Amino acid sequence: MPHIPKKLIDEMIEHAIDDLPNEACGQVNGKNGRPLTVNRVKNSAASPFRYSMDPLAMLKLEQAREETGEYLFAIYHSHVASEAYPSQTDIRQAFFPPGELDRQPMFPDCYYILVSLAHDPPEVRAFRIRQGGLVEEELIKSED
Amino acid sequence: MDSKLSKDWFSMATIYIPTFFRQITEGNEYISVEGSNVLESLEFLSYLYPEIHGLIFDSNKQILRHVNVYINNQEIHELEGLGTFVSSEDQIAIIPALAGGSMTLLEKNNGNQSALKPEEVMRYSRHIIMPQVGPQGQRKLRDAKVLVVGAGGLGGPVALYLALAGVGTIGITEFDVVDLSNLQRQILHQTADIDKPKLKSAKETLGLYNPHVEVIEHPMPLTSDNAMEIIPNYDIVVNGADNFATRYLVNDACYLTGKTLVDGAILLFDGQLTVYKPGYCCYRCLYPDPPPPGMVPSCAEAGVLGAITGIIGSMQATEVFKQILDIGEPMVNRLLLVDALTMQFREMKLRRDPSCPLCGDNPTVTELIDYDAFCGSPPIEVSIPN
Repeated sequence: MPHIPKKLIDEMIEHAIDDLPNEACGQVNGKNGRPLTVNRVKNSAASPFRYSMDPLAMLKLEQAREETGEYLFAIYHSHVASEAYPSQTDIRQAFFPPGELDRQPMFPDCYYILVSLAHDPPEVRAFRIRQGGLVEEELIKSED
Repeated sequence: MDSKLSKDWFSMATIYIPTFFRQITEGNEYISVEGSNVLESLEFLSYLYPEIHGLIFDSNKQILRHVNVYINNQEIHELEGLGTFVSSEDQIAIIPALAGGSMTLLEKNNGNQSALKPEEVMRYSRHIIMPQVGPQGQRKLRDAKVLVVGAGGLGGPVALYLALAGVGTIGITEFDVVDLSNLQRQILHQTADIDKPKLKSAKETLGLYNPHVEVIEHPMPLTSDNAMEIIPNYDIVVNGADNFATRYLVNDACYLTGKTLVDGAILLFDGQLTVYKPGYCCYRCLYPDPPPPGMVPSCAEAGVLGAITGIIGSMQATEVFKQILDIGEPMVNRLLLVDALTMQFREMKLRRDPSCPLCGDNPTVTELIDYDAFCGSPPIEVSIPN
């Protein structure tokens, strides 16, 4: 069960709203099992229906994490008009090469956080994507 | 050869290995490689770690679509691609794509699990027997809704092969009547159909081929006034339009409604094929401005080989099929150029243009515009059949 400060959840929602009508995406860095920062990443697909994280921004984030000893706690993105649940596309893309569901997912220990703006107030849910393409929801424990 | 000499001959660039690949590189983050350009450097890496090769290269030795390669913070396609020179100062980074998207209409359609009837199983058996299709795929085809713009040269073979494959709902926009000069290429219409509305003739022909298919008639040209009402009812749009105004209109309307557009074009002995998907290269990225009126002749003015409509139209139907079943490599970000005279097929790589007025980072086209004015073309004449 991921413990995520309310402040960070609000930051992800704010990002999703800021980037309307397109999907927003980003990465949550963590250390010692705790999420620390929400990092917006440019959606280079600039689309209401898909996201593609800007590769250079990802590279910088990954290299910065290596400097500070942090790790990728969660990958988040918004669905502007559908449920806060990983789509088939999201599941396929969690593997490398995409759709190779029989392999280990690219980030087995990382949460996939979905922000849905289809609801008011927006809904935020967390998932793990497992080998075989299985989706397990993990209830977020939100703390102030 | 001592190592100093080899260093003078070959540059040693450094490759940054992303976390996910480090299970292959024994945990190494940075690997020094020999090679004068990116291709040689990456090949050297795959020589050291053979498992990496299939993760970054396709069978044509091109970088896979879902892999990005950067040199010193610049994407290699902005430089000289795989041929970009590298020196010992350079850092190459491999970055697997992180992407996703919301649920599409097609995914929602998967909910309909009603079984295929024995007649359908027999009819579609040559498709169902293929592992890429199967009964599940055949149900996806049955549940799919495809809009075909125009029932002429391209729209004919597209609609025909989709109907034969059992695509459950085929919408057609068409306002013209069958003319004797259409019959050299437009396979949905026959000699007895002359002067009949093309839509009526198309529906009759498709119904004879496959009575399971529902053909929805849109007896009107697609315009800025009706496109946003018609297109959202469909999963995929196929373009068989014969004029630039409609091409820009269909492109914009598909992007704005989040639909995939399977595009084709023909003239003389030439044909083109591509697929526009929101988030990837669109028609406006490729052609920001229409050609001056009259510069590109129409098929009526310049002529067109009948069989090329069959080649391109069949390919468009194939791309729709792949989209519905989510199989293969779609013609997204790719433009196929067909020259029937030499029978050469050439492929160009396309990219989304960040400065595109429609799908770029700062779009200026946010709703449909007056496309006849934009293209400087006279409005489409609607001939009303008697």
